[in-house]
Amino acid sequence: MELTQIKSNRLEDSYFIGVHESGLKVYIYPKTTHSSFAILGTKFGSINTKFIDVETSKEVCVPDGIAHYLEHKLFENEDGDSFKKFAKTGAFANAYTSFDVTAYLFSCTENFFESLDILLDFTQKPYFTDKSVEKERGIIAQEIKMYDDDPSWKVENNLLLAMYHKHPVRINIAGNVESILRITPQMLYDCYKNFYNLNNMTLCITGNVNKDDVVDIIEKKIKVTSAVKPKIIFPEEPDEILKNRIEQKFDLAIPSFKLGFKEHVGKNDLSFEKIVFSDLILEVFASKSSKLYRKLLDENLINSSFDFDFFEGPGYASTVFSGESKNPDKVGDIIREEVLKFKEDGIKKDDFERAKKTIYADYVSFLDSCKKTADLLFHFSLNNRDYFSCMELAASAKLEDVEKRLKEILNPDKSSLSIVSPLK
Amino acid sequence: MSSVVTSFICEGVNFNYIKQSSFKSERVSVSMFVPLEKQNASKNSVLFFLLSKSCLKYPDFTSFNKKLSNLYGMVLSSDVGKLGEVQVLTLQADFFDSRYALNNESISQEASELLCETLFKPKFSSKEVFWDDDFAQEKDQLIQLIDSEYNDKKHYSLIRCFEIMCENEKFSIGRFGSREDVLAVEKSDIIDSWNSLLSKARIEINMTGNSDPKNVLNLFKNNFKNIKRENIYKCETKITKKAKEVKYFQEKQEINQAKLVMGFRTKFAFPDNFFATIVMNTVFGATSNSKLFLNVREKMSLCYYCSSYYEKNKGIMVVQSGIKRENIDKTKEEVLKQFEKMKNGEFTEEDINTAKLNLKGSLFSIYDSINRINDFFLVQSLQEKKYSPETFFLELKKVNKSQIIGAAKVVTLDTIYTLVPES
Repeated sequence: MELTQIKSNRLEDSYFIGVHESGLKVYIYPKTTHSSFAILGTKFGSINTKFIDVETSKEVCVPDGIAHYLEHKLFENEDGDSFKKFAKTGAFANAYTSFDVTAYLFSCTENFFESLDILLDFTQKPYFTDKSVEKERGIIAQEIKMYDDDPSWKVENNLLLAMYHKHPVRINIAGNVESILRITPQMLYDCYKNFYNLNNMTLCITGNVNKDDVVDIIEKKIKVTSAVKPKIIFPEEPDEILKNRIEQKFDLAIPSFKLGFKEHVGKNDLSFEKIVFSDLILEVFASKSSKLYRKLLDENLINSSFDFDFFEGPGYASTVFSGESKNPDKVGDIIREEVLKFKEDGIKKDDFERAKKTIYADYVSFLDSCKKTADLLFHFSLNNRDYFSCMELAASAKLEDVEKRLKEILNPDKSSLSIVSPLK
Repeated sequence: MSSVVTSFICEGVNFNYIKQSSFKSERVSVSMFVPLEKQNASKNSVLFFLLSKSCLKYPDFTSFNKKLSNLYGMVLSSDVGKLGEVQVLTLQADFFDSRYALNNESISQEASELLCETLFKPKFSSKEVFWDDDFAQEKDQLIQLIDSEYNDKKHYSLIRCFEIMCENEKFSIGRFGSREDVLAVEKSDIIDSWNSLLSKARIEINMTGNSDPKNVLNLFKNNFKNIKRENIYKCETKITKKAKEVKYFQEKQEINQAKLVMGFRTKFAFPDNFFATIVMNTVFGATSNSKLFLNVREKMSLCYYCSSYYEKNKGIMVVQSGIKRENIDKTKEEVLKQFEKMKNGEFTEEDINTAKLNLKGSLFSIYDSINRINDFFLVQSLQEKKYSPETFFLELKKVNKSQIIGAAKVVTLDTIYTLVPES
């Protein structure tokens, strides 16, 4: 496997990318840290509930939450639990499932290659039995119940329910207590066969490692199998939102909200320019030095939890403002009004220059953490985006290009407000 | 590995520099240590949150934040925490390493100056400046912060267990004090707190990063020149070594999942004889190879999480789990059964080694995070004997099986707190 060096002259730093003959993408970012980090991920998340099976060519519809269930069960192999194996090398292992990916990861300060061996091993050896699948139901049911009591989770979930008509991003990542009852070992094997093909996966390694040693172990451990390209079916999603307001009562002391502005996304993913420009726009519009923040603060409508984010993935994208507030509806009204004014007035030059510095420094500072670096490279690999180019783009963006992007986003007619509020 | 270089500034004030050139950002923080007292906790908290929002030089919130964002999105923040029965108030500046600045700006100098402006020249240090609105806003913000702790049920149930368990101890005081205490804070309290903290609190200034610390050290030296430092507060934590009888407490809320929190007294707390308790807690419930994880979760499928945590500054161990209401007793019994096994020595040398390996990984990776470096050394600020991650691990490594059994045998169950669904 050959590696290509990706360099940043500005940071005097570099990382390496390569593609193994199995199709597995490999990213290696050596650093002078004490710990190392590895993440092996696949493009299979909670939104992939409908697809054309690679063997039968028939349409398959699987229960909600199956990607997450598979993540839990993959740790168990015929020869034992991989968590236990990691514990013996001293590594901290974990995994997560999001809307669009599942990732398996570990960090360690010693025995890196033993741990990498375990990671590459258990992810290539699925082993699901009736007994082991059954055992997990109680555990996952309690995980779901834990999130059901978490207002910050619910407020996000409800926002997606309000914004999206059909796109499976509406579905809870872990599914629900009823849907997971329907999951069988065979379904897990089917999902594994379709989505855990190395063509669909990336391995990212950061930290105190030698790239040649990493290549050696990959060559030894990775089995080349026939390439499979999963065909995912997404329903047609209208550009309009479903509801402009959604509210749920909870036993809590202070209401939380999320206000999302839906954006049209076609068949292709958003370009990284669009994502970087969105970050710059949000920094100008809603950061602590903005007019909006000041207005909300002076009216005592937000607290330090106020935040904003650009949220995107296959077939969905939205700009989201969130926080706690005594009067979330008023916050929603003000943001919607201010968005219109902001779009009319345009972006001021000095605000823009400050935002560029802040966003550029943000992107660079992410590299301080091995974990964040590996996670970012993994997410960037999904669309073949390069991290250093993103960083450079933030530093050198042109005002007129960013203003063009502003016209595409933040449409109040396509915004939904999700609120969780106290019972009394 | 890096080490800490400590310089003396004045009575009870140290400047600690940890050189780390691998980061692309830097931090300078000022932490003050004071006894946790009901009458002062809220006043100190409001003061610290107020300090991070403006200063005399930049009295307006927006202009202050414009200055910060111009310094590559520098973050000036406050944090209030508890180290046992000591309140720790921190004001810190996180900023971008000048090596990567786009126009060769020197960020570290300006950032440290701004940090000093907020601490030594706040808005309220001048009689001519109006700060009533800032004050009212900050009180309200802090009340919201206290309220939001109720929203997170796992966190809420842990705090409630501590409150009930340590009812007549200082440890039951919240890090921000209470809602009522915050409401009662007056403007004059802020000025009094500021004056007494600057002259009487134990203060540790920490700098982590690549920049030369000389200018930053001088900056603080100059600022402290005009402050009379005397009668430095004594910070101590009282340890209750043994529980008297088990306290049971149940609360109801409109929730889906029941929370079980079991509080134990461990007899030992930092810095005395606590290494065996750390290893014991790790074998018992702190990892995915622990007795609690393997039995309560994996074998019995009762929960998604069941883990133990050793609050070493107070000598308390807590077990937390989220379960079905009808499984509370079953879970409780299993936790106690697993703990009996710890007392009886029913664990292997391999279990001990795995736990130590886990602790080693956790300690040796500290240098890879500015946050964790700071926390590690901050916790030790009040102690005579200082450990590096390496020397800390050497102590853990020495712990043997009989010491672990010994540490388990002196543990007593104090409180069982449950938060259950209404219906």
